[in-house]
Amino acid sequence: MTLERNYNDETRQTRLTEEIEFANNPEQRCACILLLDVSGSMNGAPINALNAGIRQFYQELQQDDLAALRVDLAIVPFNHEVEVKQDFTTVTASPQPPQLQAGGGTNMCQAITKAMSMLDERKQAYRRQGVPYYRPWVIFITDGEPNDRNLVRSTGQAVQQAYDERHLSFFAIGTEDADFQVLTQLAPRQAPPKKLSGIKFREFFQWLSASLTQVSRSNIGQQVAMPSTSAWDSTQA
Amino acid sequence: MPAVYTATGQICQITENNKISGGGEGTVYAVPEQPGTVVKIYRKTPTPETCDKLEAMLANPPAQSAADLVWPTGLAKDRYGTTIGFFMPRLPNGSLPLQKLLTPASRDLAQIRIGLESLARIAANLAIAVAHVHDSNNTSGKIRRAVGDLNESNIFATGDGLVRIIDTDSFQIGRFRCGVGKPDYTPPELQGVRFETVDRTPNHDSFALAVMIFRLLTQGQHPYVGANNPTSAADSPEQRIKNHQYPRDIDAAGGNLIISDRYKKARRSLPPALQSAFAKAFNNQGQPRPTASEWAKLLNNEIQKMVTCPDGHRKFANAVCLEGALDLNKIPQANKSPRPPKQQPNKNPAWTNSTPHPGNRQPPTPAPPANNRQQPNPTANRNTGNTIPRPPTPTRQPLNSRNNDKGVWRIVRNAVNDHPMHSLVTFLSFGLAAFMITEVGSPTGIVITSGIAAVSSLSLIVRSW
Repeated sequence: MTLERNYNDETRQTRLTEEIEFANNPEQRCACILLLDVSGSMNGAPINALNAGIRQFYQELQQDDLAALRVDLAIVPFNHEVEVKQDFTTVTASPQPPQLQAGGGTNMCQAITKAMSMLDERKQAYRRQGVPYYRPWVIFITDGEPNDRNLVRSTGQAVQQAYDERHLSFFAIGTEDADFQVLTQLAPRQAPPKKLSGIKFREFFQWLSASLTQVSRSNIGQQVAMPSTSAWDSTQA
Repeated sequence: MPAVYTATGQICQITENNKISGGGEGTVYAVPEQPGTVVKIYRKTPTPETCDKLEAMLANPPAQSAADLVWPTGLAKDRYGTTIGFFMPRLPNGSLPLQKLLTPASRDLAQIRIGLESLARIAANLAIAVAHVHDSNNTSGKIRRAVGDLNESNIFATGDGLVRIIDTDSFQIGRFRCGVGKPDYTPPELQGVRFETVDRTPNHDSFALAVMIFRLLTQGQHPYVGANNPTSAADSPEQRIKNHQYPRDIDAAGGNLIISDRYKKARRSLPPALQSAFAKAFNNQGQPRPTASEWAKLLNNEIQKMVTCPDGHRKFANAVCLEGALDLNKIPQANKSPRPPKQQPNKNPAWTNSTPHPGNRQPPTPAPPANNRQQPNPTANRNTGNTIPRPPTPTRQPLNSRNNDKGVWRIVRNAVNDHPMHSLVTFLSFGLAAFMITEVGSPTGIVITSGIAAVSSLSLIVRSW
């Protein structure tokens, strides 16, 4: 009985917080999950470059009136565990980016599954609150190969299905040492993985903020031309 | 940068350093020779049609008093006498597009605070400005005008609540059409229609004006985003406008649609007279909508009747206080996205005299650069026409029992919610009193414990005040 009451109180409070969040900012949202590999191999220069890239990403979003209110950002680093370092919020409501640390293994399939369930939950909140939304973005960045290799096939199928049903846009980005065979299996056929040259996280996040800014200015359902990826993309090379 | 001449052949020394803003159609520069004036130079040489339209605007300016329309004041020529743009008045210092004022989150971003009374004043002044556009329409021999593309980025306001509409060269001016529009401000009869193919009318403007007023009065909520199907993606505002989905009755259960609580609160924060005006503006029978001057009258009337809620916010009479309902700090131990510590520097000096926001929002730093299409002019202080400046910010006023008949109950309820310890103490005191009466039967016990109970109840009310 007590348990049930506590549960209801918690639900009520969560709903109230949710309502106030969307009343404060009723703008339509573009959900975006940064699914970031922070396994041990990212230690040193790569993790520093990643953190710097995220800081700059925040600043660029904050410069744009619409992107600052419409891009609904979650940051989910993963190694052998998946941690929701920052749940969905705008860079206006939560102006400081989290700091990421490297260490541990690489359970990338679990991370992707978690991201998809987070997106489903967030979309339910948008629907409850009547907030229109753009197709959400999953940005998946890895520098290695999965420990949960047995899940690659089923995870890839789930991503493909969600992509085909227009539930999400999926961007798989690998650094030069990443296992592109696995990445190709995970990413939708229509959006093959891209290769990040060096540790050009800065250039990548510049591209990401420019793309999300374009999307924020568009009408929902409208096609948006993406900026060139040439500053960080060495897929063609 | 080609040399720019006035229509009378005087040269203006304009360089790229004078650039104020650039849009898709042209670039706006300050004119060094005339500090109160800017010039818009088109990116491409304007068509004969555009030149004819500008001539028609110069020949048919709005009434002298309508300083709230940034109207062309002269053609800009190149050295061969070809029209390359036009001159217009510069926006006054501290002007912000409504886009930055509409929602609590956008105000956080722009680091400004503004209360409902100021927002309502801006809405009333906007209605007056739109009425100035329409005022020629009933006069015989005058050219017919409509705004056409009324939206939050071409309406500017200053801290004193005065409003200016820019981009007037896109207006419908007689036979010259307005080729642009934002879908979420477009009336149902024009949804999906190519704007170049229709004449825009004051009745079309009345729809956009009503959407804008609704958003100004409800912390930025769009009037059509109320009813949702919880199992499918929310439609965009334009789809809902097209389908006539304005929720007329927010308490009616409508099949598989639910109306979100935040939208219900927004609607309940509007007084009955405004509610029925919105119902007329968003009617689905093609009836004429309330006109701009009717809105101005209605809003001024409601502003005069505004009262202060127990939390110190200004609100409409006979309506709930929306600002109070949106205050994050009211939730005890909110378990998600806690607000940063309180302090609110108001970085935008022109807006410092706005109603303080009791919510104590923390703006992000650093301040984003203002990317207004026009940059405010520090020296200009032009004739403000007959729009009404906002009166001095009212201070907190005593509880008005006639208008806040549920005030005391609300305080007690809030106090119990906010201070669970108080209700515990009260409960224990009553329990002790009951115990003494039944078990001890001592009259002294009754007196003492009743005293404790009374004091703690009193402190409960006083502290929460």
